[in-house]
Amino acid sequence: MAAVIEAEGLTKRYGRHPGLLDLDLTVLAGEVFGYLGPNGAGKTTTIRLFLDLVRPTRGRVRVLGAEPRRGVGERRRIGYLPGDQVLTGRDTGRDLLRFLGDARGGVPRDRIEELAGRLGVDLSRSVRSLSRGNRQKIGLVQAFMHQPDLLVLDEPTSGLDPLVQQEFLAMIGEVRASGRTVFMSSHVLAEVQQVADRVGIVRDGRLVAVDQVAELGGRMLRTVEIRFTEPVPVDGFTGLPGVHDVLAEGPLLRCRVDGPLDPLVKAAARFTVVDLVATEPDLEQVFLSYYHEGGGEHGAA
Amino acid sequence: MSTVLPSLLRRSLREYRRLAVGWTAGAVTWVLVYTAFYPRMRDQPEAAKVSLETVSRSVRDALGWTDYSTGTGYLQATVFGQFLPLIVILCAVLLGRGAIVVPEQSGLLDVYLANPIGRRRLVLERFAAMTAVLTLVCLGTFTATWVMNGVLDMGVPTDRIAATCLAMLLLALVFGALTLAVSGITGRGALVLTVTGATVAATFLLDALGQLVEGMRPYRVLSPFHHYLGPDPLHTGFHPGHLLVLAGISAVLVAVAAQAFERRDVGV
Ligand SMILES: Nc1ncnc2c1ncn2[C@@H]1O[C@H](COP(=O)(O)OP(=O)(O)OP(=O)(O)O)[C@@H](O)[C@H]1O
Ligand SMILES: [Mg+2]
Repeated sequence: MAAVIEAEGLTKRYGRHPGLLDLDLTVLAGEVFGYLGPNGAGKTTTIRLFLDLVRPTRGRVRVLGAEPRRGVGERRRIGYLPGDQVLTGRDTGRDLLRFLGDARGGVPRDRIEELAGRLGVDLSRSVRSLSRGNRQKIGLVQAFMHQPDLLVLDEPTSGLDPLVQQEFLAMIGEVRASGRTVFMSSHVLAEVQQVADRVGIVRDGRLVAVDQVAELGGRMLRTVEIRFTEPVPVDGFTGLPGVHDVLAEGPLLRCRVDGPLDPLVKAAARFTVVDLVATEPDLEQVFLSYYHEGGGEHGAA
Repeated sequence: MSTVLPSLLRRSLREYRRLAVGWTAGAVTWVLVYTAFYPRMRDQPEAAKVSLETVSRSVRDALGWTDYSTGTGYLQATVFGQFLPLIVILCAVLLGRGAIVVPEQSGLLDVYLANPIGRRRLVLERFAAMTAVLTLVCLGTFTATWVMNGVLDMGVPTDRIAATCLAMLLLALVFGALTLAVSGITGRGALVLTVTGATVAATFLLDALGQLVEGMRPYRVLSPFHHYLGPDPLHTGFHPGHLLVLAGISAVLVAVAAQAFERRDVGV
């Protein structure tokens, strides 16, 4: 399959601050690629390099076969959602979207209205008077409306309520079904997992892992907290398969579980359980579990 | 809907429409209010003389306050002397800021540039929109002056008024283009205002001092203000040479803006 994005040693420094360091990445046509990382990791920097908004310090990148700087015409085939809430102005959403549609060679009016209806945003209001989430929807409409071959979305779900998030994920699914490509950044693994084929994790400007979502899911980690009626012995829980960092404070037991919860639940059932809370792993924890074997640098928790 | 104009130019005109209407109305009001006092000056030449004699002759020359009681002198002193051109220049600088730095700081420029709109084209279309708005402001000034000139019998030939308004337009465009050039080089909004503001003040002073101080006279040609009222268009009409100098400076500055903006990072 053809590469839609190809980065080689792509590096961006802001003065002395590293923005992105030596990114090597290939995204293939038809793929949905999730780009994950904590705040300041370099996600927005990467995306703005793809759009030629910032220029690489070093290395190269090709998007849809062209260097971003020379690919002004290619931008017709890209749908971009900026990460920060940037859509402003007195004009109505409809006027703004029509301008952007015209700039890309024309977008049927019906399509704009249909997308706006689907996400549930009022196009007759001035953009700056919209709430944060509704402005984000205008941003999504403009990214999707010209049916681009490549969607580059910087934190697309931020500010959206859960129902709209689901609608958005459905839209991504349709894009993938039609063989088009998506590159989206996020802080939240769970949302990316639902739609992405592959996930890359970036941290401190470096891409530290790229994997198929299925593999990542198998390594999924949870923090589990169990409250018993009375204090329980720690040794009853240490050494269970996939259970780490067991900590007992009186009747409260905390641990992290990598993989199925079954062994822990079976072990806990020997005592009287009052409450059990399993929290979804945050990215950092997945990251830690991922590199549990490999890296000593993340030993501190 | 018209597809004659490129989309960004149309968009820019939309963005600027309030500004265009506001500044045109302001310029027209300025002309109407000041010219309305002309009959009093004309009918009481003594009063005009007295107010003139309070300032020294060379200062009067520098400020263009010569014959207050004639229509031409009065227009020169009140309308085209310094306040109105400075206001039109301010309008040009605001338009120049709105072209790049303001949307850059809000991030909106990211959305514009993610379209098949090259950086150079963005600069050129923004300059075209700026020219359109300033033309409207100067056309409003011309029309108001022309009407009042007729109504109040000021006796200024129409082509002289037109020549002065055209020179004012080209003068303002120079500073609008300068704003674009600085914005092309740096994305820092405060710096853009500082540099353009300082340049307006410095070149204005250079021209004024050039009239007052003998030793400064040769340097007047460096000031765009000199090419505006220096040849005295209100008395002598069109001076293509000076107008071309102003247009040439704008062209160079727009080229610098396009070239520099093409090279730099956006929104950093
Ligand atoms: N204009 C800039 N000047 C200096 N440093 C910058 C600039 N923009 C980004 N950086 C730095 O580059 C690094 C990466 O920033 P980036 O915005 O790409 O992160 P991000 O992954 O998008 O973060 P977030 O999740 O908060 O959006 C950060 O350390 C940031 O401080
Ligand atoms: Mg970001």
